[in-house]
Amino acid sequence: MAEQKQIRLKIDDREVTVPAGTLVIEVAKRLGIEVPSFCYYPGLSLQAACRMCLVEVEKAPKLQTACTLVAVDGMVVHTNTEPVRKARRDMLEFLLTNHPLDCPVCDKGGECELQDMTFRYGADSSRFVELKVHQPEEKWSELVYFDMPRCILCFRCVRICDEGMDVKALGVGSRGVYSAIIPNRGDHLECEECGMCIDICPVGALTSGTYRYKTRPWEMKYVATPCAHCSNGCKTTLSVRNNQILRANNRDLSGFNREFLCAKGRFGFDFVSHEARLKFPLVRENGAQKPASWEQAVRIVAERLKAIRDRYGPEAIGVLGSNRTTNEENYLLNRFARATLGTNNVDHHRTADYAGLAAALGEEAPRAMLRMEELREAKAILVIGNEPSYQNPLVAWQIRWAVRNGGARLYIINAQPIKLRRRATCFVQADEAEALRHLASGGGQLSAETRHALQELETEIRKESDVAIVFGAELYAKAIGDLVDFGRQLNGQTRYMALGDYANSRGASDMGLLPEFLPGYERVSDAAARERFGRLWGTELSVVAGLDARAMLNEAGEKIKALYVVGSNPVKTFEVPAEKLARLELLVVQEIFPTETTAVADVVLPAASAYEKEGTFTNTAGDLQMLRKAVDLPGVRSDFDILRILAHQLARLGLGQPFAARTPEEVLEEIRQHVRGYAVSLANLLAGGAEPVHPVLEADPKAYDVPVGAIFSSRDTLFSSGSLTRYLKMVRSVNEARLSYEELRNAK
Amino acid sequence: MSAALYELKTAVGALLKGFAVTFRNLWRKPVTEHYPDAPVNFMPRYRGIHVLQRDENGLEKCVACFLCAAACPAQCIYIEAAENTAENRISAGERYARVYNIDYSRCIFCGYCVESCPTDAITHGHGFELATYDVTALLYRKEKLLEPWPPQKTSAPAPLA
Amino acid sequence: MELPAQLEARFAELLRRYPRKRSALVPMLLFAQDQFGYLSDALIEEIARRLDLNVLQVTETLAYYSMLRREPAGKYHLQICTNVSCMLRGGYRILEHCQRRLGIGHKQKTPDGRFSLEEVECIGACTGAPALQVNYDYYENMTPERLDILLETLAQGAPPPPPVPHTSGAVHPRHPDEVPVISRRFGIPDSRTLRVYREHDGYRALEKALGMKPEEIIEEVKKSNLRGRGGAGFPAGVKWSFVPKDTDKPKYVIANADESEPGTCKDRPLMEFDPHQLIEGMLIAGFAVGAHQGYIYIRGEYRYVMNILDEAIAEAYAAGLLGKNILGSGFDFDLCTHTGAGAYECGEESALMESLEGKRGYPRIRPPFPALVGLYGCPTVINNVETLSSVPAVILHGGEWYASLGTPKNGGTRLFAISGHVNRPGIYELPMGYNLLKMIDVAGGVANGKKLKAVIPGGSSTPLLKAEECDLAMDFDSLARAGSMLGSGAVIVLDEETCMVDVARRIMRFYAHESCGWCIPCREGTAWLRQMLDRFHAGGGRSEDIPLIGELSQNMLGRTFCPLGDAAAMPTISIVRKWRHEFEEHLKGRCPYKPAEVLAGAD
Repeated sequence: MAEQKQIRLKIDDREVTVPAGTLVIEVAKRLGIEVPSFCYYPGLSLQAACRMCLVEVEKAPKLQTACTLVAVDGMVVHTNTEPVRKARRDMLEFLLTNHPLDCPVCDKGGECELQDMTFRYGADSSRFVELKVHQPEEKWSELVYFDMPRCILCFRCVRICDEGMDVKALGVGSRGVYSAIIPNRGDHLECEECGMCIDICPVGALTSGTYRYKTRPWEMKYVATPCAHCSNGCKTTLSVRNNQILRANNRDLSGFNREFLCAKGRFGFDFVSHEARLKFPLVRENGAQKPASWEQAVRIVAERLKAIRDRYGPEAIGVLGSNRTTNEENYLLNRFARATLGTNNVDHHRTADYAGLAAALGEEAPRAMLRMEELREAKAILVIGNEPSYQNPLVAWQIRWAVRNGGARLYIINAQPIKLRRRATCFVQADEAEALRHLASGGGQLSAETRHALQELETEIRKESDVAIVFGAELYAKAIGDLVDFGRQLNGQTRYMALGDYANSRGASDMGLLPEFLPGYERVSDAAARERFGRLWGTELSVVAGLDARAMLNEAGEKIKALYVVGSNPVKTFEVPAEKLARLELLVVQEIFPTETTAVADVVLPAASAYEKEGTFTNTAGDLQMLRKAVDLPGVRSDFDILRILAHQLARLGLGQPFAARTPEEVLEEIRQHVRGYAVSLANLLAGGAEPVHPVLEADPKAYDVPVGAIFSSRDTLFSSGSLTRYLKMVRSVNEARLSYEELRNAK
Repeated sequence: MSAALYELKTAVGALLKGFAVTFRNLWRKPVTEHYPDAPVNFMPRYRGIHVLQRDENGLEKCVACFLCAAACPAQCIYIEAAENTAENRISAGERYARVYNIDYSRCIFCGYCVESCPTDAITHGHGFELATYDVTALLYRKEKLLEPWPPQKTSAPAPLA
Repeated sequence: MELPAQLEARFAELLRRYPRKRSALVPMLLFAQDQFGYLSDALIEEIARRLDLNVLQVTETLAYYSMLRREPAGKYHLQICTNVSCMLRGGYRILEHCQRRLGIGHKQKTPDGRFSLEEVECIGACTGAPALQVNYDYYENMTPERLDILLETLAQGAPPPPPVPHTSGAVHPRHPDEVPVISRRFGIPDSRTLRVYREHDGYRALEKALGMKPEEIIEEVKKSNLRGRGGAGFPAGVKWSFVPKDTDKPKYVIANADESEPGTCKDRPLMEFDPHQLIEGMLIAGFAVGAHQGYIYIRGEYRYVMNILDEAIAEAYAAGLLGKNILGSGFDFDLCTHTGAGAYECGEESALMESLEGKRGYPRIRPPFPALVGLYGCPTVINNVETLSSVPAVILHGGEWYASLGTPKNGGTRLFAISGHVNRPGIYELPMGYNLLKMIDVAGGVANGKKLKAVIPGGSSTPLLKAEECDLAMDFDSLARAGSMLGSGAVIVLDEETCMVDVARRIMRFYAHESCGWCIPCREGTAWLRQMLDRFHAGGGRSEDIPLIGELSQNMLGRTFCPLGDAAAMPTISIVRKWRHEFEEHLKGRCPYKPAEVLAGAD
C-alpha cells in the first residue's frame, strides 16, 4: 500500500502530524483534548446533528463541527475559546429544554453523557419556562424500554441497529421537536435483541428491561470477563452488587469486541442465579438420588472408580469433557484421565475441527491463524458454512465492520441464504464441502449453474490478496485440507478461522480432550510426547488407542463401565438414550444444572459456572483470555477444585499422583511451559488483554481424519446456548426466542 | 493596717463579684433538662434519628436514588431499589426503596444524607434514644424509619431551610 | 393486495422512472393516499413489499411528510393557510370562520366525515391571500362570505371549479417598468401548449444550444450573471462548471420546484403558464453538463401544476424534444416530475435529493456539494425553477444582453411576488436592482392608503427592513449591504397597523413546524421560541423574555446543520432589534394592535 500522506495542523497551540483525511475530532482525541459530542461515534456514519463539537477554525467564518471537518495541512483549530465554550453551553441549554430532570430516578444517572457534559460545560440554571414535550414510557420488548422525553436524538441507536447490526429495527418518527425513535413493529420491537441500542444511548432514553431501577452505577463493582456462551470470546463487563450480577455490558470496551455484545452476552448472565442450580452433591442410593456431603460424594466416586479400574482395567472408563470449562480444568481433566485413571478414552463434543485446521496448516499455522481483531481489518473475507449472524455474532459484527468501514469485499459460500449475504460482494448457495472440492481440485458434485457461480467467485477472489477465511463445522478433516490447498493458491497470506460453538470449544481441543491427542496436539502415538507428559504427570502414559465420544457412548454398559462427564449433556447432545447410560456401573457428572444426563447419574457434583471461577478461555480464533470471578455460590465447587480433590482421594487409594497445583494460575504456568503454542505473555493476559495461541500439528497432516458425525454444530441461535438455554430467563423471555432457526433467518 | 484594709477590700470585692454571677443566674430560666422525667427540648434543627418522609398522598418520597448512600461518610446507609408497578405503588417516581437500612452503630449524624436528598425524603428527626444492649438492634430498617401513615401527632421534624 | 388498475399503472410507471426503486416511495405513498384516503397498515406493507423495503423504512419516511396521514381525512380536506402573507390579509379570520361553521378544530373531522380541517403552512398562494386548498384545489382571495358559499356548494356535492388562471396576481396589465422576459408568455391563451410556446420563440434556444459546445453554453450563462433564484444567489454558470467532465457516473439535472418559502409564489405561475420554458432550460442545462436525466421535484401541494408539467413533458416527448437523439443532435435526455409530500426542508438542495431518493428529507453533510456528489451519489446540477426558466432567454439573446438588464453582478430580471398590505398583490417581472419603494408602487402602493411599516424583502427567512430602510435597489448585493437578503424575491409588505410581535410569532411557528429535527439548535430552538412568542403575544410576556428571544435566535444562528436554523433566527433577530418597543408594549397585557381572539390557532 502506498505511504499515506501526512499533514500538519495545530490544535490549541499544539502541533500535530496526522495522516491526511483524519477528522479534527479524532486528531483532538489523539492529543488528549476533549471535544464533546453526542452523535459522533467512531465506526458509525457521520451525523453532525448534536452540534456539541463546534470548534473555532482560523479563517473560517463560523464555528465548524469537528466531527465532519477533515484536517488539512496548516489548519489552526481552537477548542477552548469563549465562542466555543458558549456554543457548548448554548447547545446544552437547547438540549435540556425538553429533557426531563429526573436524574435521581433515571437509570443512566451517574454514567450519563448528558449529565457529565452539563456538569462540565453547561449553564447552572435553566431559562426554559415553557411546557416540555412529554410522552409516556414505552415497553418495546422484555429487554428494551424507551423513554421518549429523555431522548436527545443523537441517532446512535438507529445507526448501530442499521449499520452495525444490519437489523434496522429502529427508525425516526414524526419531525421537528416531535421527532422520536420508533420501533419496527409500531409499538414493539422485533429484532435480534442485542441491546446495542441501550448501551450506546448516551442518556437514559433506552433502558434495559433487566436492569431497570435496580440500583445505581456507582453502587456496583465491575468485572470484565469473557462471556460464558458462544465461542467468540467477547468480554462482558458484569456489574455486581451484593454477590449478584445485575447487568452485563461492555461500555468500558474491555475486550476486542469493543462495544459489541449480543443478546446472550448482554442478558444471558441470569443463569448464574437461577433457582434450579445444583447446590449440593447428589448420590444415587437404592435407585434414587439423594443429597450428600462433598466428603461422602467424593469418597464414593473415588472408591468406585478405583474398583472399576481394578476389575475391568483402565479402558473401561471413559471421560467426557466440556466446551465450557477452562483450559486449566481441561488440562487437569486430561491428566486425570490419562495419568490418574490411565485411559485414553477422552473426548468432548467437538463443534469445529480445530485439530484438522492445525493439521492442514502444519508449520504455517502461527502465521495463518486469523485473530478476532484482525478480522475487522481484513480487506477480503471468504465465509464458508455456518451462520455467523446467529451462531457467531461477533464474527458477523467484525465482518460487517470490515465491509462498512474498511471497504472489504465479502464472499460467501453457504448451503443456506445466510443473513450476511446482504453485505456480500458475491454469494454462492452450494453445499460447502462440495464447493470446496470444486475450488481446490475442480471436482465436487455440483450443478452447472452452481459451478458457474463458483467460477465467478473464484475469479474475483483470485484478484484479492491476504484473504481472511472463516468456516464452520461443515468443513472438517479432508475438506479443511481442500480449503487450505485452495488458500495456498491465493495471493498473499491467507488466514483462517474455524468457527466452533461454545466459550471454550477451542480450548477443549487445544488442551487435548481428544482421544488421539495430548495437550497441544501432540499425538498419543508419539512416544516422545508420551514420555514428556508422563514425566510431568508422574506416571507412564498408556498407548492404547482411546475411543471417541460416540464410541464411548455406544459402548456404555458394554466395554465402558464407568463414564466421567464434566459439563456436558451427552443424552441431549449425542442423542444417546438415557437408559443406555443407566446401564453403566458408574456415571459421574459434574454440572451446574440438572440435565437429562444428571438425571441418570450415580453421582452428581455441583460445579461453579464461568462467572464464579478463574482460569482462561481460548476463543474460536485462538485468543486466550483470563476469566475474572464475579460472584460466589455457596455449595458449589469449581471443576478445577473437584478434579483436584478427586485426584487427591484417588492417590490415597493408590491410584495416580495428587495434583500439586492448587490454583488455576499454577496450572496456567504449567500449560505455558508444556503445551505447544501456549507460551504466551502473562503481562498482557493479566491486564485483561487477549494473547494469541497457535498450537502446531507437525507430524503427517495427511494422516489426520475424523469419522463422520464426530464434529457437528449445535446450531444455536442468538437465543439459545446449548444446555444453558432453558435457564436463560431473560433471553428466553423475548418473543423472538420462540422463533426457529429458519424463521429467524427469514424474518425481515 | 493599710495592708489589712486592702485585704478586706479585695476579699469583699471578690465575694460580690462571685455572688453577682449567682444572683444574675438566679432569675434566668434554668437550662437543665429533666430527662427522663420530662421531655427534652430540642433546637429545631437538631440532628436526631432519621425520618423517611411521605408525600401528601402517603406515598414514600424516597425514589431510591442512592445519593444519601453515596454522600454518607460513614457508609451506614444500605438501599435496595425496585420498580413501582401500577398494582403496587410505593413511591411517586418509577423506583422505590425496597430495603432502606441505616446502621446507627456507624452513623455520625452529619446530615449529609439529608442535604443530598433530591426529593426531601430523608430528614433528621428528634429521636435520640438509641441505647441498646444488642448492637444488631442499631440497624434500623425502613419500616422503623418511615413516617407513620396516616400521620400521627408527633413533634414535627424540623424542616431544613 | 389488490390495487385499482389505474393505481397499478401509475405505480408501474413510477418504478420505471428511477434507477433505484426506493425513489418511488414518496409519490407511491401520496398516490395511494389519494386513492384510499389514508395509508393503512396493509397499504404500507404492500408498498414496502413492492420496493423491497422493510415496513419501518416506509413508516419512518411517511412520518416525515406532513401531507401523508395514517388516519382518514374528510371527503373535503380544507387546508387553510395562515402564514404571514395570508395572515396579513385575514387568514386567521377565515380559519376561525371555518372552525365556527364546521364546529371542528385543527386536524379534526366533522362527524359525517364530509369535512376535515387543517391549518397549514404557506401553500404558495401568497398573491391570492388569504387562500385555502380543498384537497388539491386552490381557492384564493377568500372572504368569510365566499367561504360560506364554497362550503355550501361542497356540502351539496360537486365542488365548484377553481378559478382560472390559478395563481392570482400572475396575469395583470403590465406596468411600464416591467421587463417581461420569463413571464412574457403569461396570459397568452394556451401558453402552456407546445404549439403556442413554439409560436413565441419556443425551443429556439435549445436548437441554438445544441449547435454550441457545452463549455460555450456554460460560458454564456456565466456571462449573463444569472444568479440562483432560490435564495442563496449562487451564480448558475459557476455551479454548472463544477460538474466534473470526465466521470463514468451518470449525471443529473434537478429543477427545485419545492417552492415553500412563505411569501413565494413565482415558480407556480412559471410552471403553470410556461412549462415548456422550464423543460427547455433543463434540456440546455443537461446538454451543458452532460446529463441525460432530469427530475422536477415539485411540492406535493402543487398537484395541478404537476399535471400541467406532465402533459407538457408528454408533448415534448411526442415532438422529439425529449428522449433519444433530440432534434437529431445525438443528445439524449429524459425528464420526469417527482412529487414531494409536504416538507419545507426539502427545498434545501441536499434534503431534496434525500427526499428524491425516497428517504426522510434530512439535509446532507456538505461538502461534498451536489455538483460532485449529489443524487444517488452522482454529480448533480440542482437549480431553482426560475433560474432554469431564465436559461433559454440567456442562450437565445446572449449572456451579455441578459446581464445588461440588471445591475452589475446581478444579471437579468426577476419575478417579484409582492404580497401583504398592497393594493394589487401580484407577480411582477422587474429588472434586478429595481427600487423597493417603487416596487411597492408597482403593486399599487400600500393598501387602504396606510403608511408603510416594514418589508420582508425576500421571503420569511430574510431580515425585515424598516420603512425608512426601504429606499434601496433590490439585488443580492444591495440587500446584503442593508443587512438583509434578496432570498426568493418574495416581497411582503407590512402596514403601520401590523403587530410585529405577531409577525415574529407566525414566522417562528412556521419554522418550528418545518424543522426537520435533525440538529439540536434548530429542533429545540425553534420549538422553544415558538412557545415563548406564543406566550408573549398572548400577553404572558416577561421583560426578561425580550433579550432572551434575541439571544436564543443568536444561539441558533450559524450553528445549525442547514440554513433552516438561520432562516428562523434572522427575521426574529431583526424584529427584536428594530421593533423592541413593540415587545415592551406587549408587556402591559394584550397585543396593542389586535384583540387577542386572533390567536386561536392550532396546536
